[in-house]
Amino acid sequence: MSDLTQALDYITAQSFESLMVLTAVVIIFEIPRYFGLFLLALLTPRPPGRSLESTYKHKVSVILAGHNERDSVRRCIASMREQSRPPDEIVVFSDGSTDGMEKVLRELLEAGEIDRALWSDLRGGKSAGFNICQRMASGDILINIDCDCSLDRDAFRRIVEPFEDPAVGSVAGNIQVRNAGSGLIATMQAIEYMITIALGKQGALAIDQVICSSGGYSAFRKSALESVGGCDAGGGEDLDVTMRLRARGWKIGFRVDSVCYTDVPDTFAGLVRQRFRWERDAVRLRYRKHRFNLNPFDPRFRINEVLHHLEYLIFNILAAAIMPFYLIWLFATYGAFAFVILLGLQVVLVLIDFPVFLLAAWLTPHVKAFRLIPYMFGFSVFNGFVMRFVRLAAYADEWVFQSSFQDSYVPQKVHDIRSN
Amino acid sequence: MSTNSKTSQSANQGASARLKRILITEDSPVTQDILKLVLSTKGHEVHIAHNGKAALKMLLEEPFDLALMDYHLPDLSGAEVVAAFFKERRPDNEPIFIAMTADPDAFNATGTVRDAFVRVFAKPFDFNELLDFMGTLATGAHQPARARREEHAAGVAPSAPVNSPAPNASTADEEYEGTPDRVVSLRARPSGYEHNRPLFWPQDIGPAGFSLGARKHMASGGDYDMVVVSEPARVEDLRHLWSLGDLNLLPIIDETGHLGHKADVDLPKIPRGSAERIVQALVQEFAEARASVHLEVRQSDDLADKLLASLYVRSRKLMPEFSGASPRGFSYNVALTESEVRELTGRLETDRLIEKAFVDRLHGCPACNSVRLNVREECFECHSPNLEETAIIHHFKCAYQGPLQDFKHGSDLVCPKCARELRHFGVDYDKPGNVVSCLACGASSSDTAVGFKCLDCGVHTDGDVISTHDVFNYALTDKGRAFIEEGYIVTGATQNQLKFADLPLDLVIALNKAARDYTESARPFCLVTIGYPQRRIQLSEHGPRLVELSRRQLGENLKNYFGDAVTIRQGTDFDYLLIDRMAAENFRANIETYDEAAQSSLKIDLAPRFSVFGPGELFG
Repeated sequence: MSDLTQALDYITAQSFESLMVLTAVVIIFEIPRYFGLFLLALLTPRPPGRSLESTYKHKVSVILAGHNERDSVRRCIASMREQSRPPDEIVVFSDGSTDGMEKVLRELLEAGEIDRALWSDLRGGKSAGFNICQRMASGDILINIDCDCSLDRDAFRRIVEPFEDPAVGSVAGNIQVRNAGSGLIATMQAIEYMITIALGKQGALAIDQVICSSGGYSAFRKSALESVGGCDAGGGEDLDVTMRLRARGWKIGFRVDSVCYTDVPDTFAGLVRQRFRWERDAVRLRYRKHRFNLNPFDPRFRINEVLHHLEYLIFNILAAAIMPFYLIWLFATYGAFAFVILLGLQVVLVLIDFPVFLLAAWLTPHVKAFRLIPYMFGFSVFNGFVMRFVRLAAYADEWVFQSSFQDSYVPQKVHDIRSN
Repeated sequence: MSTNSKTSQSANQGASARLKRILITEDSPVTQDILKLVLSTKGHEVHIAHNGKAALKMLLEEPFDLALMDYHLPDLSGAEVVAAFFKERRPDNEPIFIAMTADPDAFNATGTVRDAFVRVFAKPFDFNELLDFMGTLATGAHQPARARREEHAAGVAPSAPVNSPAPNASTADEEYEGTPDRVVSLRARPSGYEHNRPLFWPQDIGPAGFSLGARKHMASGGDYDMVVVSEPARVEDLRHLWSLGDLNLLPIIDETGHLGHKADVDLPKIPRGSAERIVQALVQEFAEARASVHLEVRQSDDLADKLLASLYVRSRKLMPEFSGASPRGFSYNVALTESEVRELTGRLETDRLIEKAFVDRLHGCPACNSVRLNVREECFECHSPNLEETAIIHHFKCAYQGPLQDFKHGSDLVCPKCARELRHFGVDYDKPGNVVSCLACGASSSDTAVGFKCLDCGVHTDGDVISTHDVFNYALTDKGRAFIEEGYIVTGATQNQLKFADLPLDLVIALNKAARDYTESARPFCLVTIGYPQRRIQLSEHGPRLVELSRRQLGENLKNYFGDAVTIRQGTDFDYLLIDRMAAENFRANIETYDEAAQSSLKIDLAPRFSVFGPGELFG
């Protein structure tokens, strides 16, 4: 108790400069990012709704590639059939499934629920599955979706609208968490998705910084995909293809009102595995495959791309990398006070997170955000400390071991031969 | 021959006036039908009795001018009928009796009663002869009964060849009018029908019906043993077999091979040497089986009954045979059309006289019902069968995955995305699956739709909406077999009422009393008929004495078991049990116990069949 009062005394006794030093990590790595997004999202007008008829100008194909998705594919197809703007064609690919998924596809095909059913006996990975679907689909707009996703009724209608602009090559959908109720880990991710996807991408859209049309749910112009040859081998294909589309000059859109729900890992181990995969792939793609973006002498160099690389470098990598050093310094300097200081920082972060979260909730009115509010108090710990350390471990892992080349999401035969 | 018919004509005109009312007592349905037909057209009023009892009853009740009696009847013999008649008749009731028999020797052995008959005709008899004789009767040439009897007693033989059936067959052959070429065709045949009496298609039974010769032969009580199809015929052509008497129970020998399995013998398929033996054996089998068919069933006009009897006599299941020759795709091994079979089997199955078993499921064109369909793998989109299956190639390096043709570059495989050459299977690329491309519309899937195209009418149908119908085979049930052997009593109240006329008189009286008690005081009762479906086998195995004794013992056992409540009467075919104060349901519930009680200490297994009738079933 005396420690706490002493600490508070100490903090209040600090000058403005020394306070800044104390909270540098927060100030540099948290506030600008989210407040920036906050302001941007606030300033960006909500996208105008177009008439339903206008979405019929394009032929819309849904492409669905999955491995062992026998049980989830029916619900996914059903939610597509319920769309206010139903797709004109559904192409499903069973990628070497061993659970009898192709039997379900056959039934769906016979029932006329889907238009093309393809299957293979050997698994080829997500990229290859995506590519054969793209090859077989006949629509101008291809909506790529994961089998375990389900959709709001007007998701397709909204995601198709931005293609009115012929420069738009892809539109990312607003992916939110379906299983928010299944434990603390999932709930935290529900808040995270609200902030980073609904708010984050809405903000990024304002400055043309949507970098990833996520593999879970996004739409592509077929001609744009063909111009880049579809997905390349290896994980993180969604980020990769989006970056290559950007490099080709295609605009990437985002529709906050095109909501798709997915189940997120509800165990810490599951979450860690997932984030290891994401972050490893991001590092690999950004700093190996797409490093030309950072080379001013490369003909493909563009300021626009530097921006998001810098953002990722500072707010993800640096913020994670500096964290251990900051903590060591804090404890070395302040001893037991460090806890109190950290606690104080968390209070500040919660105060920042609240308006940010509320804005995100306002942007996605259909998502039930209200019940998430009590968890806001824990979110800053989850996001500021826990996830930061997870990311840090992932970066180290990829940097040192190139673990993304052992990722089981991609078949070994592909790992063996792909170059980056 | 020609003079014969002339005299018969003139004589007949007179005969119709004098011999107005004629009673025919005959158990053969064919002979019945034909005699009735011919005599009716000659202006006689013809009445039919199916058995001796009925004949006696009719003779006593109403006056007849002439009675044509079959000598061998299922219940009473002709002799017994006549004897009983003379005992009970009114004095002015004096019909002329003519006997018909296939066994004149036996007839002659019956002693004095035979004198009651003016004339005996040996079956098969010449129909013209009968008409001629009737003509002479009509002109008053016949003597009073007493004088006749005296004449017989004195050893004066009647004019006809009563005791020589053998020449009869040859006579019939010669006088056979309908088939002038018959003798020739018969001789020419290897199967040697000379031992039998065949009914020929199309000579005897043609598209227009029966020839005059065939009619006469049948009317004179002549039997046929088989139907010989000597020129190509369809099932429809043999329709008349099902309309007259029990001709449907004759074996059909197909010399042309056109009827296939609808005939009983497909002669062209049989080795020459064995044909005669097979046909003979079959004729014998059929004749024996026919004898087991209950008279009621043989006389039935109901086509369903006829089909049932046909199955019984042929001792086979109604089996479908598949063939592309007809749009239906199959035919049943019976000389009926498939639509007739469908309708009849439906009824018989409802009555549980036959049971069906699944054989196959056929797909039919919804437009024309034909099963001659081309089954095709088709494009899901445009239903074109113009499909091509190709392998999918997955190029590991760039993740391009698509059909083989995307990669084909002469003899090389080149990736359309990254332009690299695919050199090593398993290292550069693999073929994880197949894709079927439609050459008509360009659509692709890993799977194909199934469609049907009718070869008869050209209509296309999707696999999931094609109409199907199931094909069954049909076998006689125990009930069906019992029905054939024991008549309508088996089918109970639903279809045919128990015939009270068949019951012994005192049982009818007892039954009336029980019925009165039932209506007045709701006192239940039930009538049980005990049939012996295996009695023929038992008779041949154990002899009539032991069977008769056992049957009597069975009655005694039941009497002891039920005590005073039961009235037991022994009939010819059935024994009857009237049980007071017992509802039919109760009897049915304990039928096994009663069966055991009835058969206790019996030397042989009578295998009795109990049919139980409650008041509702008897009078409802």
